[in-house]
Parts: sequence; structure tokens; C-alpha cells
Amino acid sequence: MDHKPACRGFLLRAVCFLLGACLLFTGLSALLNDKMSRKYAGDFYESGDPYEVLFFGSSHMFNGVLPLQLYRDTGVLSYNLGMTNEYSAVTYWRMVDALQRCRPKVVVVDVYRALSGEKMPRTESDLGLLHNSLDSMPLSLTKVRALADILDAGPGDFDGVFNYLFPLAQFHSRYRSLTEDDYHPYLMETRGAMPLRVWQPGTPLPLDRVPATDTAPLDSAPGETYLRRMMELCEAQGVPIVLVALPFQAPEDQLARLNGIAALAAEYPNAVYLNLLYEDVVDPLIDFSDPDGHLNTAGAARVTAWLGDWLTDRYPLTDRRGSAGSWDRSLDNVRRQHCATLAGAGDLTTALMLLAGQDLSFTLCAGPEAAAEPANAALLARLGVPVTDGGVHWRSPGAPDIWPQSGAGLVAFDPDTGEELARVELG
Amino acid sequence: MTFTSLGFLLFFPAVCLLYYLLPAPARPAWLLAASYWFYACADWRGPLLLLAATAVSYGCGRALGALRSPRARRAVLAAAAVGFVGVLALFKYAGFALESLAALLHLAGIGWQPPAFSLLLPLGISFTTFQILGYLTDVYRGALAPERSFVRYALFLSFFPQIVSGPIARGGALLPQLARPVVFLPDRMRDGLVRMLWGYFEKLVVADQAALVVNTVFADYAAHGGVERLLAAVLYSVQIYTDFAGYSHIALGAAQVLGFTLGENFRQPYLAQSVREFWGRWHISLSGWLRDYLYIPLGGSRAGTLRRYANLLVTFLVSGLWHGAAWHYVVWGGLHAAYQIASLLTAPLRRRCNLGRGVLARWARRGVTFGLVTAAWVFFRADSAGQALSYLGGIAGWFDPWVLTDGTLLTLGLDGWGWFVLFCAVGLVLAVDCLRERGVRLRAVLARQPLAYRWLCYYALLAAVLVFGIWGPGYSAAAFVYFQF
Repeated sequence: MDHKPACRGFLLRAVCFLLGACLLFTGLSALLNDKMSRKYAGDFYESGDPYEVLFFGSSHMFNGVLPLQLYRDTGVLSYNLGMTNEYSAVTYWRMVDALQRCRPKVVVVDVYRALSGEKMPRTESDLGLLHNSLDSMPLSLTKVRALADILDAGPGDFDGVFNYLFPLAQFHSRYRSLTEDDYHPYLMETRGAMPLRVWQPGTPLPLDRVPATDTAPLDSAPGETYLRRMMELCEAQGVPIVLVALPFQAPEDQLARLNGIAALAAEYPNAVYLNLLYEDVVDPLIDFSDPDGHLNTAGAARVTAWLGDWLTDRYPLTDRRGSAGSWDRSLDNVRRQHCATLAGAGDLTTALMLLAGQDLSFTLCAGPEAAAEPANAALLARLGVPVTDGGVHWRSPGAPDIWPQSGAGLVAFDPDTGEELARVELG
Repeated sequence: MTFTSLGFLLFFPAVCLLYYLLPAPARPAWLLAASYWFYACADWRGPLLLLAATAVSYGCGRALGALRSPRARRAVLAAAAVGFVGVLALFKYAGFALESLAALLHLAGIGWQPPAFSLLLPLGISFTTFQILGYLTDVYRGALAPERSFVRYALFLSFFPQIVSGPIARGGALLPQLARPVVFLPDRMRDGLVRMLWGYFEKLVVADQAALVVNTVFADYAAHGGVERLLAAVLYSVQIYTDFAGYSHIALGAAQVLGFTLGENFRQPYLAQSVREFWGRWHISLSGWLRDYLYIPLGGSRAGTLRRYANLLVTFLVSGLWHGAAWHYVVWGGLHAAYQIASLLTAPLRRRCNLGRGVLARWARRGVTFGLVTAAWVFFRADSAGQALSYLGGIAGWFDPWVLTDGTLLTLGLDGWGWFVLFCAVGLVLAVDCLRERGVRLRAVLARQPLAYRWLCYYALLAAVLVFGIWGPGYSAAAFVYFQF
């Protein structure tokens, strides 16, 4: 009996069934996988925009640099590929992958995680957060190599790598907790950044005790290894790289180690090191959002503006304002989201922090005591609002003559159209 | 490498693909190499021991075939039995024996600390030992010709679908299959794959989900009342069945894909109407082995009533000890022997009472049998016989049904969704078992359906495993319960 036709039919059906199984797996993955990674980084992989600046690093970068503001101020298209808790090894591989997809004119890397003595801790939290960095990265040989390196996985360690290649392995039990976002997934329009709209007072950095000239070894083998690999990668690709220490609540020992990175960068002709901790860019009293010193939107706006000036002074970056429609729409949408948060502000300091650095005109009323609070005084000074003995009664240029009804509070407007975007009543 | 690891899901298709691409004469050697590699994944030293056991038992088999003197043949069999049981005892029971001796001496007032005893316990050693002893006994009895091909014999002992936890293959059933060239049969392969999928469902969706509750309650049973304990005991019955039956489905399905038929290991055990019947349906390859190579040689049921009871007791105590080197396993075996002896003793009385033959009577008998088996499983699951007694004592002593509604159930390792999924999955397993009991073989029924409906069912099962199964890094899928034996 000739089995060949039956075998051929079976094999054909088997291939079709496997294709269907792949579709099923893909569909379940789309529904059940956590959306955080794609929400922030998905736009980078899907938009195809000609990004000229790429930002990499940990939460300091993720929260601290705002590509939309950079576009608003300079017209430069950039993407923030930073992510919470991202270790240097992960950053390196994300850079490898990103440079295979676009040709930026400069990359900027936050060096904070290079201080960590571990390449990739195996705690549940660290391994969980690794999904945020890697899940949106499309499946590729680079991703396999990245995982093998990050997790030190041998050829037989399929299980350790599998759940990052196919995150359904991690997230399939989310069927218990699906939300509307899972059925209607969306991409954030912030071009990768996550602005923190919370204020918490920080303490002054011990810069007087550790001047910029005080250096210490980085004292982290994985940190140094991957910083070097990043600089070598950029050198090989002909892309300038800027290592940057972004402002945070840095303790003394870390300040000296961060200062030491300058010597490391000096070894590479295409690398520059910027230590913003010493550049008086932010005010810890008003620009931090938590005890670790992650920048809030006011701080992020300051850092972005500073970096924007610095980058456009040194690199031939293109001003695309007016020709990048989707960016203008995103600017408007993100500003509206920001204003929605502003409208819910429960105190003057938070409201002022949310106003700082934004493209908004406003009217503002506050009593003398509130205006004299140190944080409020610093924010009012940054906003250019004069304080009198009677407190604050101020209308910024472009704002219509519409005031808070309760006598204390603020109203924010679109500076071009005068449209009211947010109202905060604190009386 | 377990059946639920990603490694196996890559290993198995690769082995199958090459197996069918190779010319028939090369296939046994390929399967043998794959099987040894599979075994080495657990511990690289395991294959060395297995190879030694294979060589010795192969030689013994050939000697039994060649020798004509009954005394010499008996001597060879006895030496082999003592040797292999001795090796099993050394690896598995030496520590237990020393600890038991120390406890006995302690009772006699003699303080003695047994030496630390730690040997590599080769995976599946109990299964392999029984398979070897069965083979040699069959050759000795003349029921089986000694295998001449070393490769085939080595494959018989190491065949990867069954090396770790059985089924304990009989030489007469498997060796002839290994000698025949395998033809690629699409229907057989499809049936094997579907069987494997069902095995994954039983293991990952039912057994490992039930294990979350079982482990929570057994780990701190003193903190749980009677209702939780009863629930955990019942769920352990579910867990151990779906765990081992799931494993067996995967093993038998994998063998089927490769063109081999291994013996069935389960036949709807919880639908048994007596404990005796239960043992005809549960772990059939082991209970059949014990019947053929221990119970019957001891005299079975034909040597008088008392001797029959003694034979039952010995057989089940050996069964208990086979499962683990601890007294609670022995008690578990003894309890099953006691059930059967009690059943024999009360048979006339039950006949006089005429409890009926209708549906209700049938289900009542099933319920009683399930209850008895479940009570015995508590001894199996507990860390000691004393703990099992304490556990069972608490069921009656602290029985508060209010916990069924006050949210306590949601603190036992499963949330509301988890309970719902487990409930539905157990219902599905029970329904499939009931249909099979009535002679309906679902896989065969499905195979006759139009392709679209058939595939819809397969995809639904696959989706259930992917979504509801306990797999991936969020949970570590519990190792198959029977791996420890």
C-alpha cells in the first residue's frame, strides 16, 4: 500500500494546523500580555519616523527627558528608549537593536545603572521589570542573543529565555485581571517618555562635599563593561554617543563614582560625558517626584530644555517643526492629558510644578502665605510670576481675562487660541 | 527535562522528525541515543548506571535463554533479582532502613545516630528495576525469548517516553514492536498528538491548579478546619490522578507518535465501585506487575483464605514501599490491603443486605470507594503517618461549612477565577471519564468529525492549556508526582 499521498496530506494539514496554532498563540499574546512595554516603546518600532536622537537608560532617562518637548523647542525628532530599572546590559542590547532599525545622529545614554554591581539580578522584581524593557522588541536573532547574554543562558536553558521571547509564558494568567486597555490597547504619544506628575521636595545634593574633581572608580565590572561596549558599538556605527548623569538624589559615594565616568568616556573619540548633577539644571526642592529623585515634569522640562540646547549646538540636527504632523498632534494630545492632571491638582505646589515648563498661558491667584512657601516661591520665580505683599494675582502673556472663581487657584489656557484647558480652584 | 519543559517540546519534534527521515535499520539506534540524552538531562551520571544495569540484565537474559539446567537458571534469576533489588535498596532504601533502625534502638533506650547516607537516586530506578525483573522472570518462565539485539534491549529499558515514570513495559509487549519496522501512519500520529495535548491539559490545567490548594492546606493543616482539609484531600485525589494520568497520556501519546503502543496505565479509576476494582484501573502497569510477579507467585487467592489475606497484605506493603522510602507509604499500602481484606470479610453480609444494582447504588459504591481511596491518599501525601492521622482527625473535629462562603476558600492558593477554572476542568475530566466508561472514545469520535469542527476542538483545548495551565515563570509547574518514585 502506498502511504505517500496520505503522508503528504497529513503533512500539509499539520503545517496548516501549526500555522493556526501560531495565530492562536499570537492572538492570545496580544490579549493577555502586559501592555506597558509596547505602550511606551511600540511607537518606536511601528512609526518609522527618522529619529535623529535616541535616549537610552534607566528610569532617570525614562522619566527625565521628554522627546515631545524637545521637538516643540528644537524641532528634533527623538525617542526615549529608557525604562524603569533597566540595567546597563539591557540598555546595551536595546541600543544594538535600535541601531539596526534607525540611524540616529547621536545617542544619549543615562549612566546611572552602570553603578550597579550586578549585570542582571535574578529577583522576581528585576526579572519582571525586564519585560518592560524587552517585550516590545520584535522577535529577532538580536533579541535571542540579547537574552542569552543578559540572562547568561546556556544553549540548554530554553525555559529562562522563552518567556521573554514569548511573554505569554509570563502573562497567560492575566485572564483574571484584564482591563479595557487589554481589549483596546493603545500607544502612548510621549515618544517613550513617562512624565511624572507628582511633586515631592528633595534635599540639596552634597555637591560641596564632593566637587566634580573628586573621582572614584566606577567599581562595577558589568557597568564598565557595558558602557565600553556601548561606546564601541557607536564607534563602529559612526554614531556619536553622549553619556549623561541625569539629576537625582545622589548620595556622596555615587557622586564620586559618577565623576569617574568622565575618564572612561575620554578613552573613546566619539564619546562625551555630561554630568548634569553639577550643571545647576534642576532645583531638588521643586524638581523631584520621590525620595530617589526621579524628575517630575518640571524637572524633566528643565533637563530636556538644557539637553536640547546642548545637542543642537553640537550636532547637525534637523528642525522638522511644521513638517511632522503626527508630532504636532501628539504635542496637543499630551498637553491635554497633562492639563487633565493639572485640573486635578489638590495643592498649589503641585499645580505650579505642573505649569512649569509647559506651553501654557495662565491666570493665577494665591495668598501671601502660600506664595511665601519655599517650594512655591521657587516655582513662582521659575514661572516668572511676581509676588507682592498681597500674594499673587498674575495673568501671563496671552492669557484671557478669566480668573479662578474661588480667589485662589489658577486657570490654564492654550497660549495661541486662549482656549481654557484646566482650572484649579484652591480657595 | 520533564514533559512540561520547553526543552521537551523542542526535543520531541526533533527526535520524531529525524526518526521518520532515517532508514528503518538506523531508527532504533537513533531512538536509543535520544533516550539516553533525555535521561542524561536529569543527571549525567544516570546513563552510566542505566548502561551497567542494561548490560548485566541483558547478559542474565541471554544466560537464562542459553542455560538448560533448571537449577542454574533458577540461580541466575535469583542472583539477578537479589542484585537488582539490592541496588534499588541501596539507592532508595538504605537511608530509610538506617533511620528506622535508629528509631527502633531509641525505643529500646539505645542512642545511636545513623551515618549520613546520601547517594544519587537515579530517576525512574523503581520503574526500571521492575521492568528488568519482569523481563528476566518472563525469560525464565519461557514466556519470552531473550532479546538478542543489545540495542533493542537497551532501548526497551531506556525508551524515553516511559523511562522516568513508566508505564512499566512488559518485554513481550514492547520488544516485538521494537523489532518491527515502523510505518508512518498519519491517523496514529494525530491520535498520539491529541492524546499528548489532553495529557498536558490534565497536568497543567487540573493537577497543577489543584496542587496550589493542596500544598497550601497540607503545608499548614493545623491552621485549617475540617472543610478545608476535606477539600484539600479530595483535591489531592484529583491532583494525583490527573498528574499521573496526564503524564501517562503524554508518554503513551509520544510513544504512539513514534509508532509504538505502550500499555494503558489508567482506566477511569475513580469510577471503580470497589477498592479491588480500583486497583484494576489505577497504575495498571504496576498493579499488573505486582499481581503477576509477586501476588500470584506467593500463591494468590488459591492458597486458602488466611494465606490470601497475607498475600494481599505483602503485595500492598511492597507497593507502598515501592512508592517511597517512608513509613507513611507503607501505611498507605497497608490501608489498601486492609480495605480489600475487609471487603472480602464483609462480602457475605453485603450480599445479604442486597444494596441494589441500580444507577444510584452504583454511584453510591463509587462514592464510598472514592472516599476510602481519598482517606488513604492522605497518608500518601502527608509527611508522616502521624501527620496523616492528625489531618484526618481534624476533619471531623473542626467541621465548619461557613468557610465555604466567608471567603476562606480564596485564601487557599486560588482566587475566584482559579476555582472556577479548576471546577470546570475537573468537570470536563470527569465527563470524559464517564463517556469512556460507557465505551465512548472521544478521540476516535473527534477523528470522525469534519476537519473544521475537529480542529476547533483541538484549538480550544490548546487555548485552555495556554491560558489556564500553570506554566511559565509565574508558577513553576510542579514536577510530576510520580517522578519521585
